[in-house]
Amino acid sequence: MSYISDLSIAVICSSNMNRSMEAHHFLNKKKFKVRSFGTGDKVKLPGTAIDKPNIYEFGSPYSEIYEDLSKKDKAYYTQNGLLHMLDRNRRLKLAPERFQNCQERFEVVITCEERVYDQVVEYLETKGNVANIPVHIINIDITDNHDEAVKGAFIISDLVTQLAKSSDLDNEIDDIIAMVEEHTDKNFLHCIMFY
Amino acid sequence: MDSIIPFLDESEQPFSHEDIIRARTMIMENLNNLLTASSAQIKIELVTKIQEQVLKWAPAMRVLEEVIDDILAISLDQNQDVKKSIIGFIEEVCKQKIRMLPKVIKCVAMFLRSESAILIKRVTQACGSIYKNTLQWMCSTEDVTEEMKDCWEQLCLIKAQILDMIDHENDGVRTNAIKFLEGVILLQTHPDADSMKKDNDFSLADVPLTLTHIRRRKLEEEAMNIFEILVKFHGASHISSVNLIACTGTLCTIAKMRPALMGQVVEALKNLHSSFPPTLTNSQIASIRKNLKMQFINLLKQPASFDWRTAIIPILQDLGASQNEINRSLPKMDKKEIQMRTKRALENEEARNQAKRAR
Repeated sequence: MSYISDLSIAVICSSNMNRSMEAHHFLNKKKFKVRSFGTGDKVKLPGTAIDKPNIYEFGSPYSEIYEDLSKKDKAYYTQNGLLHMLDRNRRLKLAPERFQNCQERFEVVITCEERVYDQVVEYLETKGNVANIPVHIINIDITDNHDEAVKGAFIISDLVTQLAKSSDLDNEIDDIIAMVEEHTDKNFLHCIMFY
Repeated sequence: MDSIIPFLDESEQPFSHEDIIRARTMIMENLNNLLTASSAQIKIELVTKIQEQVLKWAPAMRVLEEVIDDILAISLDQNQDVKKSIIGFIEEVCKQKIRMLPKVIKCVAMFLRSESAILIKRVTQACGSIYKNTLQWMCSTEDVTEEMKDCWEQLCLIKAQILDMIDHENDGVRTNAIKFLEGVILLQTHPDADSMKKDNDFSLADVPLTLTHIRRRKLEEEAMNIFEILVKFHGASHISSVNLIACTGTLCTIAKMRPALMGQVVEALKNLHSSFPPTLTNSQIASIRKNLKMQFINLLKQPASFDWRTAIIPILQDLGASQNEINRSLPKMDKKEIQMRTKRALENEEARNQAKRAR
């Protein structure tokens, strides 16, 4: 696949189901070099009751999760949009992936929630750096529901488009983030870590 | 390649004349293609291919010594990505066989003088491992040749150039310089019993006292001078948000691995907490406060931070850390160790006060 930019991007939420996959879908359509991940211990999806979430291991194919939920209560999971989301996901990639298990290096990592940002930063800090290669971590708070995930994907796309235009990202990233913050009226967290 | 043998130094694993011929044929074929290639993409692919061959197959590494000058000629290519692939190639060759340094060091110095910030950043990253590998090489060889000494001198000049880059006009170049200097400080200072350990650690303690051209005292003096420069840079009012976070991370890594410097690092972070650079936006200050909280929590986890707990804990509370979070970060110590550390902390405090009075 040919990309419109060399910028390598990771989009991360908790379960690699909704927010990161919506952004992945959006950026993929625009031909950015993007991968998506979750940082939680397990993949968690809402169940028929608040105390009965559906829990899967990272690496469980979206298709299998789709089949499992269809068997459990097809009408309910169709009505709440989970099956539609899983169908979208399985067309993009095989299974939810955990960021902490990924060996690939990215130039920009975008998280969708402050807790996820903390987990990414903590993971990279604990792992330590061997190659001194910088990675920018940016957090954009997105509420975990379908509508907000779509709005969030627009903001992420806007930000990535600006970052990809830069010929010297490390030198310009502060200004780009400030500009996108102003456009979107949102505050982002941003830090630099090293691989 | 039909059969790939695991890479071993030729002194340990002799290989046949046929292997050499096979390796030479393969490398020459790729080299000829490289020298006649017209597209940057093909050149990058060929450099990567040669790199894989020499790193995976010992006879190919032997042949590389004969042809490396021809490969490095590609560093004059106009395309930036081709140049970057050559820097990656040099970095990997030096990781595998630092004895090749005399062949490549001029190229490293040339890239560092480039006008392109992207190339300067990439070569500065590579210099981190090249510098460490060279120091280890110098310290592990009984017969240090004139050529090796010459290489060391050139590398010291490169180090001085990177130190100057802390004032470079490009923010990203400054970031990479900070990270390189972190490595130099760790290599050129002594660890102690409380030091956080890393794989493949190398420090001043590993530098033999018998070396004539590398002196422990000089290296340590230089490291302390660089450390002072980093602390000053960290406290500068014009520092960017990205560099402030990078420099805070660097100072904290140094504090964890060289606890003797923890006091100065805590002081620098305390000063930052009490007065953020005026050029930062509210959003950037929020990011820095968050980063500062994480760094202080990580320092608190180190037994060596015992002396500085009274300074760190109130700052953490101001940064929003709960008492529970703070308690969880304190390393477990038995009564005897607490007594010993309390006594040592008091002695250190007294020594510092005496030093202040003397001044």
